[in-house]
Amino acid sequence: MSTIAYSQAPVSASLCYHCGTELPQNPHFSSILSGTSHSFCCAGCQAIAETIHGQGLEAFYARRITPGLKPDENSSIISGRLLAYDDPVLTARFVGILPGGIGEATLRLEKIRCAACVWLNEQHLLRVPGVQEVNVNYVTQRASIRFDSARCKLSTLLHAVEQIGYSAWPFEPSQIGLTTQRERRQLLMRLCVALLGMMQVMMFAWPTYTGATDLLTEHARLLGWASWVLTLPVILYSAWPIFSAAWHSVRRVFRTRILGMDVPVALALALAFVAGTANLISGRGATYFDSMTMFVAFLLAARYVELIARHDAQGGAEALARQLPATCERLNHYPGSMEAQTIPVVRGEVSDVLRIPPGEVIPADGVVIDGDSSVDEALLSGETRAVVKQLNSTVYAGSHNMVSPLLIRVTAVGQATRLAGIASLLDRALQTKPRLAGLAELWAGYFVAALLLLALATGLIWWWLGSSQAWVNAVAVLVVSCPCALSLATPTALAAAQGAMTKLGLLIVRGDALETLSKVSDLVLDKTGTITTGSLQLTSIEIFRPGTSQSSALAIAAGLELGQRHPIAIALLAEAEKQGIEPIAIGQLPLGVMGKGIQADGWRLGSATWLGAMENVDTGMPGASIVCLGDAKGLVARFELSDMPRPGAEKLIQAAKAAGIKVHLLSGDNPASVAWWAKHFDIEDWHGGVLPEKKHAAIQTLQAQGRIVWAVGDGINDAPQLAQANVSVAVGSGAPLAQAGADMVLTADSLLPLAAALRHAKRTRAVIRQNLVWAFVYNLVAIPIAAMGLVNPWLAGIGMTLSSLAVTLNAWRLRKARNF
Amino acid sequence: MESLYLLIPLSLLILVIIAVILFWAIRNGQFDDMEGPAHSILMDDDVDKNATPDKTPD
Repeated sequence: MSTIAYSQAPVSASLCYHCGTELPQNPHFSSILSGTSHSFCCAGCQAIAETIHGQGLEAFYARRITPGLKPDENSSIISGRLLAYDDPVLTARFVGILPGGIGEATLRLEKIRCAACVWLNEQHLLRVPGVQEVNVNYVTQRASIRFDSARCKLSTLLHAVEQIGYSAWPFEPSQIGLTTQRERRQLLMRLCVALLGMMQVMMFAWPTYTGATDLLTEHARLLGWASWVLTLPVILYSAWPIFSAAWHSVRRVFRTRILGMDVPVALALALAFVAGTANLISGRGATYFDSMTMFVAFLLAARYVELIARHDAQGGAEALARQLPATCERLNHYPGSMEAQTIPVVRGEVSDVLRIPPGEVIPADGVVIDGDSSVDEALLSGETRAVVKQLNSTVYAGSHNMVSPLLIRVTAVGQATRLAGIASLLDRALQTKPRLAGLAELWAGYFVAALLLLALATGLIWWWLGSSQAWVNAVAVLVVSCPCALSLATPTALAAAQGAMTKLGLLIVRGDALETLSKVSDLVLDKTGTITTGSLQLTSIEIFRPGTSQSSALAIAAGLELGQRHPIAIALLAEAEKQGIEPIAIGQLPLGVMGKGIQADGWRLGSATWLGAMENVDTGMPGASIVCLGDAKGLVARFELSDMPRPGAEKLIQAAKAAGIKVHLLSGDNPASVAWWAKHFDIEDWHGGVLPEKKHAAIQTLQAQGRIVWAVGDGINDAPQLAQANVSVAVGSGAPLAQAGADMVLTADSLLPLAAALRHAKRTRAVIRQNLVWAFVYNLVAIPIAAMGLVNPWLAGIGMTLSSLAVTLNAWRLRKARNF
Repeated sequence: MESLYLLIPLSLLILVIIAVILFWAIRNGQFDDMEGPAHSILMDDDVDKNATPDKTPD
């Protein structure tokens, strides 16, 4: 083991061995691991590294690509939060018991960034007593674990993962998860059958391609029947989804007025198979089995790529569950006793009294009965500033308690909460979402009608001429014009463009989103967290006391806020750390005065009126937070903090305007702040204080006017709007619920990929159009030849392959997209 | 050319066997993670599991 080279690991003396951040001056943590002395930035990193080395897993440090993340908390004892998972109700939900007392659980791992992380988690979990088998899926980041349920508990597993600096939450094997798995496996099986069939039928067709003259008739018939046997499962099994989709499309044609792309495909396949079989029996004419199998294989391959992209995004049910914590603290004997019991949230009921510690997510709707605090509702309402909650204030499930503990009496749980209400609005919106027909679908209807007429005409003319070839030639028209290129035109282009956008940081969930994007007329943006980053930053420090420097004022403010977790404190501390300013030591514990500020050591940090300042300093940019520092003699300094624009927002708005798209700003934040940002980005149409239901309705109104809407958002309050819009983008760092209804997920930090997507969508549309034109040109040439009875099998095969190849190669050009 | 009567049914039979193996592999989840195994083969588990004492469960 001593031979492992540590040259790749950050061994620089000034960096933390585990997380790679710069070491603080002091205090300093160091320990001797495997004979080498290493330094750490904090006790958490030290504990993780000691655990990893202690188990002989130090190879992780040589193998990892990126440094580890700084741990939030790390302790050797299992916290009550995790212990609650051992409650029989929760355990039964997450752990399946196999014969012999073997438990089986699926954990969702977070913070996995490279293959070494996967390896470390697998090896570490295997060392937990009682664990028998660990399997981490690199793509889905899920670990399936088998363990002896008598020797090992769910909390032990979760704690083991936290001990090495990752986090995990148990994953309920939901119905949706099982369905997607089955769907994927089934399509893969169909694809495999089609590919195998295609390979072997081509092989059997080889003699007819090469025109082998010494082939006896009975041998040719043998090859023909062998091909038929192989084509049968391809048509009946592999192509089954195409037939059923075509049937659905035909049944609804009077309502939708659109004939799906599957209809001509299914028609061509069915006719070709029947004609091929008839020709095989009669021993005259071509059988087309090679073309059919190849076509089905191509089509299924394109669909498989699309399916995988769709499954990569999360399902709605999973997203809703992730929005809430799994456990909460219940006071069973309030007000008699303040003793709290940690219970699973699912067991909470209306009129229970819950305690919500600062930093936790509120698990249910309720009314505050004791304590005052401020709550971050940004994801629910779009409001940037924390909302003050006092006695009798209403709090909502999914919002974040920030300052001090709250006692609430539950008024709604589970499906009755406001959060669940928004989720069900999302589901309804998805059902009513208008689907725009793609180019290919618009053309397909006419194409099929024209084709059937042509085939009929061909048959009639030859019959009238008294030819015995009438039937053969009519079928040849249908088969040669097989909508191969036509149906591949769109999926290949979309799949190629999809790959390009993923590399830029935009995951396209629904394949046709890019095609719709090229037609949008309106862009609806959310403010907080979308065109802004949603977190506060210090923008200016103003000094009112001569002799005080900006850095010393910041040092005092940071000292007062040390250990606080509300946004202003985080912003002040982050700025102090960035400038390398050491927060001053505060003698006494800072005392918080709710809604006003905090005080300690004679210093006060809070609103100007509370400090008794004479100067009028509470005005600034709307939406900005002002906090003032003062002492007994008056005002010392004033800090202005504001939300920052997200990188790339300006470029996106410019690009949209340049493309003739009308830009709207729709936010739940207060109107003054929305107005300021609308002016900043030069957006004419803006609305503030909009509720989720109103956002959804606003999109519907636009759509009723015939506008095609592109929506971008990040919060839970945006979810119904995203589901309703023709094309929608969820910002990846936002609420999981918002992603559930979105067509695309932005994984990059900047909005630039959206501007690139807008441009790439136009290119994609151009390529689709070229492909369709090519398919028609091919048909224009091929159909008269077929109608004249001049098509022989090898000519048809070459023609079909060339036309498909041309379409695929043209789509290939979309693989690369330039970033803006 | 008489051999064709043996070889062609044989090729069909082999194809059926291949299809059965593929079905088994897909159902068994062999295609569920197409990336992880490529990495994990490079991460050898040459660390002796019993070299370190087991932690006591909490």
